[in-house]
Amino acid sequence: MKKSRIRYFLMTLIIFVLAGTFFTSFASDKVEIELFYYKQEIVKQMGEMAEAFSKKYPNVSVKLTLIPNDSMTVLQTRMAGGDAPDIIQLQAYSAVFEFAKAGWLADLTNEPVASKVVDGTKTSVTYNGRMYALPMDLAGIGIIYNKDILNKYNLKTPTTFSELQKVCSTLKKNNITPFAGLLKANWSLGHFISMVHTTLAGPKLMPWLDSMNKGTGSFADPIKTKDLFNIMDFYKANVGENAAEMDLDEQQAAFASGEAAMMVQGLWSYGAAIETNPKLNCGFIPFPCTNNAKDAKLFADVDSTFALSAISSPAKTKAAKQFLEWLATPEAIKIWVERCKLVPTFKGADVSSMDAPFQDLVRYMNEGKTNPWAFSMYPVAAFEDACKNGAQEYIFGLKNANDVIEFIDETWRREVKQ
Amino acid sequence: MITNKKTKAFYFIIFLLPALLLYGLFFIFPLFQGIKYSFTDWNGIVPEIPFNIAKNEFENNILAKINNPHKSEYLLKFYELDEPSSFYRLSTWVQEDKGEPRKLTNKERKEIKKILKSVGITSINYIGLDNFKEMFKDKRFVPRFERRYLYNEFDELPTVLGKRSFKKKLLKNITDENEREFLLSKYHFVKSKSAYILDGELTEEETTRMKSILGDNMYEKVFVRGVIGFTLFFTLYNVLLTNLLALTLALILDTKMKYKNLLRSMFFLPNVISLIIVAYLWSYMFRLIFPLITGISVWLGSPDLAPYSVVMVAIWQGCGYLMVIYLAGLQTIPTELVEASEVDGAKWYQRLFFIKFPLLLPAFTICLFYSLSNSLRTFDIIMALTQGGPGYVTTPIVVDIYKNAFMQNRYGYATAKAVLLCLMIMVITGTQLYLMKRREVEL
Repeated sequence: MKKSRIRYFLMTLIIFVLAGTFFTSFASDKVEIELFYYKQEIVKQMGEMAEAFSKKYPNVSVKLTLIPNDSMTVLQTRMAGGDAPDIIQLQAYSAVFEFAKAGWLADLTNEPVASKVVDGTKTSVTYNGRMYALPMDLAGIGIIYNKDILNKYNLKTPTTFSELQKVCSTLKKNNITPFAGLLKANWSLGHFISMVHTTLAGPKLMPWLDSMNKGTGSFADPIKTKDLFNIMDFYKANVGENAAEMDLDEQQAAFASGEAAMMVQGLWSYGAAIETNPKLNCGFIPFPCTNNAKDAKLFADVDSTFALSAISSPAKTKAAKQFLEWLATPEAIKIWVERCKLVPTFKGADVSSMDAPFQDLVRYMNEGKTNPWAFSMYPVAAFEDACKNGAQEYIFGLKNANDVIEFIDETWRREVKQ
Repeated sequence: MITNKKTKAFYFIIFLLPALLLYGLFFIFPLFQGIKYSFTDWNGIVPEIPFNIAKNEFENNILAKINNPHKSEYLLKFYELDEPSSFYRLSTWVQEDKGEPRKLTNKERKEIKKILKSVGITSINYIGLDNFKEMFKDKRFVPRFERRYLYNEFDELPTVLGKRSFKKKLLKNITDENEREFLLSKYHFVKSKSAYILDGELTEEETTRMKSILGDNMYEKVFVRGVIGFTLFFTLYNVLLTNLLALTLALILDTKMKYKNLLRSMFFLPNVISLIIVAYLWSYMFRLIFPLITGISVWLGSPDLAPYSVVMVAIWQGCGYLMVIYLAGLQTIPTELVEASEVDGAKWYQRLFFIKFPLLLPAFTICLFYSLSNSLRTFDIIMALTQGGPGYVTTPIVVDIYKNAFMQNRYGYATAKAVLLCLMIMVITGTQLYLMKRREVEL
């Protein structure tokens, strides 16, 4: 008798567990949309945004999912299972294009919010003439420099390569590392090689990209190979002894403590540096690659975008569109600018409250002195594998200049052929 | 205990059947799915049934080719023309006459897939063995000898070149007689310094020629491990050294020493700490403490030292676990045996090799198997320490697979590598188990 009682108990337990999994969701009028994002520096701020939005639209709640480093991995895995978040934060260009090409993203061309962003930013999200995401923030990669240190040694902010060389040698003489280095993680070097390449290529960039995508070009075509790798050598010589061992955190720490006077980084690093040392007095300039001051343009473009999933239910799509519309309101822009410290893409947004480096970025943008992020237009593997690893292999002396160019060309051709 | 058939059936249904089902669902099915994907060029993003089909293609290649009107109607029920973009879009949410819209069911998906397949539209292309062929052509995947060029055409000409390196790394590589003559006419051997020295002024033309000669011919051959090579390197060192260290520790801790319990937990501790913390700890050590002790300033960032540094951390982290297995093995050895041999006059090393080791053989088998299969598919510690860098110097296969699949969007290719790794592990550990089990039986 006892035995069978245990048996029944087991049976009922299993039935309850199974039943529980089936009836977890209860229908209600409230819509919950999922927002998937990767910017780990704005965790708290996204929470505030979601709250502010829900206050205005009480029947919609926003569930935030943060996947910092492997956002693409998680996204792809979820999509392979036939599921996608309702709002997806994506990097501009390739990431948007690839998901749009596969059909995962909803067409936003005719949404009212699409007309509220600055026109120049739309190329970064336009695939086949349709707009598949909303550009959200502008970011720049260049030299973030410590004004106090440069002033201390009576140095002018460099506008040409030879001026930069002089600045570096003076700093070295005074035992200050010119650049806080970051060589251990290859992504920074990938940005660097692409930035220098783009600046050197100048107006030849777009025709060159076309020829590459036809499978006829070479990475060395629009530039003098010597110039590019000279600058790589110059950078290597000025990042300090320990740079090979340094990661993002150490780079920021070295810059914030005044050990190094400059760092070649995106403005996203500024936030952490100013948090470590609030007294830091910084400026932001392009990395000069030639001796003509006019060539020095900031490597700046749209960084993140918000896209909508094309497979969400109609109710959720509607709510998600409401959210995008709300982002363009002054209330949302204020949070975006003041709390998230990101440069907005909406027309007429007020950025006067931002720190000096951001003002510099906006100024360069308004003057039209920017180069697009060419690496976002390379095929994914050409940048992720060939540029990043190739640049790192060159810096560490594992490969020479020709090997790096061959690596990039081969990878590019393979990707284009597919 | 004798159980009747009914009870047996009951326990089979309750416990064994779910286990078997789960085994099939989570192991057998993904395995075959993986092998299937390894023959494709899937990029990991394209969905199983296309969401967007261009208008032209849809009308000319699909609708025109389907003979059965029911089937085209079925397709048109789900694909809707989106005028502005001139694409047919799959509506994943179906609005039926009344009520909430519902999601496309699996049955409908399968049906759509079948219809599209009948006219040759598949979102995933099979490319046969191309992935496997490409893998072995990949310069950074297989180990090989590579020329490492020592002179960069963009640098200034070196004025002094050592005698041996001049002969071995430069002169030997030049085949053209004219070039050799030109080189020797400019670089003269100076006995007092036992080096070749560039003397005399060179015209611009001569400089360019000299630079190109040096750039093309001054190299040495170096062995590049590649991804497979590094995996095997890591496995060899990790298996040997971890087991050696674990065994030594176990033998020491098996004696009657003070504080042995405390020491045991101390040695086991690295295994308990999260790997990410281990990585932080060690990158801190490598950056700040090792340079002070050794005088070598760069460890994880150095292409020569990074592989050894990584192995070091892996050994530190892994040996505690194996030590526990060895300890357990040692404690099962009957003390009478050891004591008897002691009385018979066996020295300590004789006791070790002829009594303890043979009786430890089962522990050896387990430890070797565990460390072999673990090192072949090592991922976390390397990802946290170096991310496979600098370049490809510390990239084992699994990190490479991860990068291929998720950072470069080459899912099919990555799966092919995973299949290769699976075969590698099966062959290597299978051989090891076979050999060691045979030894165990002999005893």
